[in-house]
Amino acid sequence: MSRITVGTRIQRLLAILQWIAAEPDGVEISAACERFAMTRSELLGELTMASMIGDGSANFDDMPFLVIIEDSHVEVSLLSFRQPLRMTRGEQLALFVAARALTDPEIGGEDPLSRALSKLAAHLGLDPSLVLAVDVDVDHDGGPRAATLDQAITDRRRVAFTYWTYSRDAVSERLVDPWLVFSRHDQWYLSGLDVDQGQSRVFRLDRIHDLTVSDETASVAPPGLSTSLDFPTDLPVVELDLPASASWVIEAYPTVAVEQVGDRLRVKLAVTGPSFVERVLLRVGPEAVITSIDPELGDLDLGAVTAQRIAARYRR
Amino acid sequence: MTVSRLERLISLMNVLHDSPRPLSAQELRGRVSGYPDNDASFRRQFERDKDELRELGVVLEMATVPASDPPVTGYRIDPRQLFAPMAELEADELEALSMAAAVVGFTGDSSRRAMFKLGVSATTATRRAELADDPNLETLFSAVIDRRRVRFVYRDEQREVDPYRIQFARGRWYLCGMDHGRGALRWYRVSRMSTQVSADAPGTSDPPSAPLSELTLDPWALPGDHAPMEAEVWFDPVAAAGIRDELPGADVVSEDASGLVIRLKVHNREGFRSWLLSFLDRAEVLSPPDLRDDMAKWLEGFSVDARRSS
Repeated sequence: MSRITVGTRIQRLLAILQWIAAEPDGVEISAACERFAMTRSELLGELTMASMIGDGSANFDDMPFLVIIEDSHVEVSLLSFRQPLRMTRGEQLALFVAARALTDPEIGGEDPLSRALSKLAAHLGLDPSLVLAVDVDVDHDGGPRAATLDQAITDRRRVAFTYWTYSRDAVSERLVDPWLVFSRHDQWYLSGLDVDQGQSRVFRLDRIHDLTVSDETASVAPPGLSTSLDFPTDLPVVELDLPASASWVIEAYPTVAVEQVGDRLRVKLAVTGPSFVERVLLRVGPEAVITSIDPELGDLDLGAVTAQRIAARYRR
Repeated sequence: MTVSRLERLISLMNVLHDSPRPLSAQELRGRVSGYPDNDASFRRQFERDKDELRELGVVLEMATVPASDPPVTGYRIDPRQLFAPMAELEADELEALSMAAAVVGFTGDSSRRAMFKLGVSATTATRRAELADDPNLETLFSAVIDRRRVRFVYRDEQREVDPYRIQFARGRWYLCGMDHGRGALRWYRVSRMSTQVSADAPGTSDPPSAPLSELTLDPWALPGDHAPMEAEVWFDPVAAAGIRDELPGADVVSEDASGLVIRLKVHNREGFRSWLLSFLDRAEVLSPPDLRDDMAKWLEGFSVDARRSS
């Protein structure tokens, strides 16, 4: 668990004390440790500290809690803080968002999370129809591919799959030693050794298909495996002259340089493959002009050639 | 003995909410252990403590200490503002919520705190989908709940919007609402709102005329200028795998070795075209003829000669 802030520690301590105090005869320390996912020494440290709050004051009622620790047992009496602190909007939002991410209110499920979400919505004074007003489209676990890959990593098995290299619009068969499945910016990735190329690679899970797990033993991940998605620094560059209406290109893609020329934009992009440029050109339309392009990516007429190729489908 | 910040903050909350009258900073210094003797250091630490309490959601009331002359500012916490019983959740509901908060949450600590307020520890998960937090989200969330009209600057223009739906998609937060300046539904990326969002009084926003479930960020479903039409679209098997992930509830017409055909309700032709072209040769509009013609005309607008001479 990440480092805990003082504010979160306060909430945790109050939750612990309220939970113990709900049992008039107290609880076993081990039970509290389990419920709050803490070690015995962590928990005892917090309880001991709580027992000392206000004990230096001349006013007895400045002591909010009475905590009695005996061997493996602890009893708490609350002189104050008998209820949880009011939730902030931010905290309500966090719970709401978590529950919404994993439920579909349109289906009207009766599972515990859907019920919790309905109660939470009612508690917030939210009209039941407004549960749909917050929508969280997030892949929280990477789906079946991530599960298969995780199992393969645990079992140290080599995997094979078909991979769509989006930037070159190329499809190839890969043999990979899987090392780590991870998420960045709402996308899931596999980091592993591309066996045929003898190099480590990162693959996007939604571009993997026909995944199979082999009986071959996979290599182990190197220590300090990076999950960085940094692009290489020596990518080929294309310069585009775009209409002002295509300013979304600057927002959607990392740019090397942007210059306003009259009412048009001169944009330099470092790209991982020609298909990247083709997509930008086709989406912006005939008004997008290549002013210079690395020969590795294609010629100045890349957009027109691509458009003609795809247009052929529509002439059939 | 050293008194930790945590002890001091709990003690401060305890004394402040228990008091029938506002207490001055000096009175608090006498009753709460752990403040430094030096006056300047005390003031600094007291200010930091007040900020921390506010961050915890504690409402600090300020009022003049009765009978003080000259008048001295006092502090108090109304217990009704400090505590609030949470929704009554069954054990299985709490557990489900805790699991959800463990796997999806903001980059900050808010879901963990919220779970403690519900009386349980947030479940820990090795994997977690982190959602970007944004300072304007809370205001927008409150505005949707309380039906408040919101105001913000977007693309250098002042906007006045009835907020309907907040959506997290493709790693970003968006707001959908009725833009009164434009008299039309619009989507906004929350991180691009260039000012702090301000919200009017509760009840100032009109309810949406369309069902909330129809307000989606799918490029073909964005508010458009044409009547919506049903389109059938083909994807080759390579693109199909991604489409299945992206649109789990898609209306599938057929799926076999030759690819996947789905049916979409297209509200926005430009958005649809742009999205489909990102698949290059791996997708094709099958019907209606009107949309096929649109696509063909768009592609034929690219002239090889024009590009070469530019």
